[in-house]
Amino acid sequence: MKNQSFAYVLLVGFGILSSCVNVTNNSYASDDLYDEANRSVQIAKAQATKAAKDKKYLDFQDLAEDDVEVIEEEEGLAQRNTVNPNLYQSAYQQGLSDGLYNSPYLGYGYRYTPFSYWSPSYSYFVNPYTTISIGMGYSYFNPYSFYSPYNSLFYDPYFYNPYYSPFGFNSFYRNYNYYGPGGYYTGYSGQYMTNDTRERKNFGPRDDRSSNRNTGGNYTNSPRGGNNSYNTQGNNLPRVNTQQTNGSGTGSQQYVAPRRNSNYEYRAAPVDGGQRSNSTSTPSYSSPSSGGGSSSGGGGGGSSRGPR
Amino acid sequence: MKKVLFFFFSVCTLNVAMGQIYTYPNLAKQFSTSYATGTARMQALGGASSSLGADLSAISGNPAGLGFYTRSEVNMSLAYTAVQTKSVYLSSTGEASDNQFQMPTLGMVISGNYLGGGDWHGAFGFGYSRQAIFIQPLQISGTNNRSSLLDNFIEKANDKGATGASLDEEYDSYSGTASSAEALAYQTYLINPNSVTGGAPFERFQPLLPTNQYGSASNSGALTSWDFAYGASYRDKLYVGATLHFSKINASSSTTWEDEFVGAKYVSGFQYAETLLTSGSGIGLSLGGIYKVNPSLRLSFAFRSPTYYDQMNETYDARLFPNVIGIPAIGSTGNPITITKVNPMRLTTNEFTYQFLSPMKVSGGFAFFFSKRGFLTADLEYVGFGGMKVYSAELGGSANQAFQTKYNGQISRNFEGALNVKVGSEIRVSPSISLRGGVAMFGSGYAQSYDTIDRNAFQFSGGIGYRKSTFYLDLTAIQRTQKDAYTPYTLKNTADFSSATLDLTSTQLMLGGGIYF
Repeated sequence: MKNQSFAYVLLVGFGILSSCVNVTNNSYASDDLYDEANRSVQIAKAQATKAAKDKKYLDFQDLAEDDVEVIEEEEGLAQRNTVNPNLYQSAYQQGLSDGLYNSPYLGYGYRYTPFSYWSPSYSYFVNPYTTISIGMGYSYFNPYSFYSPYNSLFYDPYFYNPYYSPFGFNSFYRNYNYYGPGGYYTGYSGQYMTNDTRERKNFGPRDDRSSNRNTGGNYTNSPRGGNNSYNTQGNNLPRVNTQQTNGSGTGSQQYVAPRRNSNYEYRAAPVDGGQRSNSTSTPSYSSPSSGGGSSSGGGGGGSSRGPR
Repeated sequence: MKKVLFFFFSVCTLNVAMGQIYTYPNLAKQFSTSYATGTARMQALGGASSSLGADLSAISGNPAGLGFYTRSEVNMSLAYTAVQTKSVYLSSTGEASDNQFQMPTLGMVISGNYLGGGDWHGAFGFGYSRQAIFIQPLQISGTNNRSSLLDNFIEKANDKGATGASLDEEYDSYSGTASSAEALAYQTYLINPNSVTGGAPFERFQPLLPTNQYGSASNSGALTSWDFAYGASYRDKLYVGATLHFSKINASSSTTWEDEFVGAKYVSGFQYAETLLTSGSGIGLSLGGIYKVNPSLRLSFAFRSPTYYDQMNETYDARLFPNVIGIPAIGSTGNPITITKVNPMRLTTNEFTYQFLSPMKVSGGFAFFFSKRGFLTADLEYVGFGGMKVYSAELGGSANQAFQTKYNGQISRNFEGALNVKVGSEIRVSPSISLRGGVAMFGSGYAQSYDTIDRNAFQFSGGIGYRKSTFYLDLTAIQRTQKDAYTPYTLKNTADFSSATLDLTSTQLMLGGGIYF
């Protein structure tokens, strides 16, 4: 209510301020929001402007001396040639097709195509991706590579690919990979690479295990997790009469069962009265959480589809 | 058939939603809620732009306003938004803030050629507009004497009749991920099956200990739109227009929840971090009309169809970081051991695509002009939040039907139509300078039965404009306040968990300008 009152006071203030202001209506800056769009006046104005323009352009005899602007050509200006003389000569002497063919700007041939020439994947020695690709090539990061026969093994003096397939043209999807469940043969490194799960989308809800989907939701209007409904019944009093017994402070310590994963480190349990035996640890497997990417990392089966 | 039955069972099982991260109905509400939009001038007026016209806001608002243009215009605005969230959770207060620079509007209007004469004159406009930004942060903490997030996982495990063996089955050794939160808690030794039954009731270590809880959330992203509109006037009396909206949603929500057991002997605590990424594109249509009753009074009507988002792609990811002191366990060889460290583990990343229909909007308003000295304008807008829908074509058939039944049922129960009231006024204090002020109240859209929080948002705005015949500059300040709540997790016994009350404040400074040509 306080807010509304403030608003009304604000508006009344504007009204009072308005009544105090005295500006001649005609002196306001033009604003279509206020101004009456008098089309006839606008049309007349526009027509007058257009007529005046036409007159100046077409009626040379009627121009006043001050209105005349003489454009003079600077001496020697016309002799300048802004076209690359080499390209021009090439096109002129060898014909348009051949000229473009060899053009450093427009080349569509394989010999001088700059995209291919400058591709980081062109050079075997500087290409960081060379060792992890098969099929058509070691240059699939170069979008222009498809237009360059240098990608072909027939033109590559450094690289012989025995697994070349005419269908392996698009190596990005790695459809023709027979080298390991998680990746592809790495050529020189001899290591298997972990697949990126984002490239192996599994369409449809998973049915081989339960999931991290939201597997329920009551149909009443009771508060639910992950929402912004306000629970008024929480009292935060210490809880009593719990039925849980595991490790709840009793003297009898219970041992929990082993899990499937070995994602832990341990030491031998105390033998007597708190005496502990030698410590050791298990070779914990590397947690995928170190991957960093929220949706990458992990191998096959590392992702699922379906509502949460 | 087996798949369909499984999914139908899955979505209909009585359970609670994934903690912290919004479920689909609440996401739909979040993506459908916008406040004052448009140029700096119109936002200074509380967003009450429906009846005014001759402003770039007409492109995304009431396209009939384009009919007022007698010349072409290009406009751009920049804004600095600072948001603050004050919370009270378990009698402890918290505060979080965030800020962002963004571009609320960018667009152009090309006015028609008047030399042709006739009764109809029009203008074409296209532009980019930011409809909403999702940057409200959250920071809560408190000492919970009743429960832990682990109790939520325990209830989930109990409800589905899990056993230690079945939760082991949910663990993928190859990827090192678990496919449910309860399986994740089990694999990290935070919850354990009953030693007698091997399953329910699941237990956790020392459940009677008080728990220090810390929660935080950070959000980013925006709802933006590219709009293409045409508006025309008939004898400068009746104005009509239409807009095609191409909307885009990009949202990221990251939350962390940390429990710390005071005086623990076995497990000192854990942190659970979740991330939800959502993106999607949609299309919608607006129709509008303005009628000039006389030179001083204009009436308006506008309709915006629901925006249909064909591909709402989401990726959900969660990680659990246990903090272990010493857990008595049976080793793989059967000998007793004490687990001294459990490495963090990850939930199986989940991707999902669904369709989303935002609510329709209907608005009407008036503008009363005090000659050329200024005007008073007001809009009344209805937003049909109860009509939001979500689908999932990729589920197909019965599973899709079950998905709709569940979540659209929640939408219709939890949300209802909201009324937005916007009032604004502009006074020209000199030939070039105008002062503006506005106030708006945005209905929450939550049903009365949802809870006891009044989520209506109140907004105040003011601004100053400098205008010449060929250009203009507008400076606007906006402040909006509202209340909300946050329930980090729920339990069957409502006495066992608590909610945080939130006071949300958003302050925005906006600078806009345009050139006529």
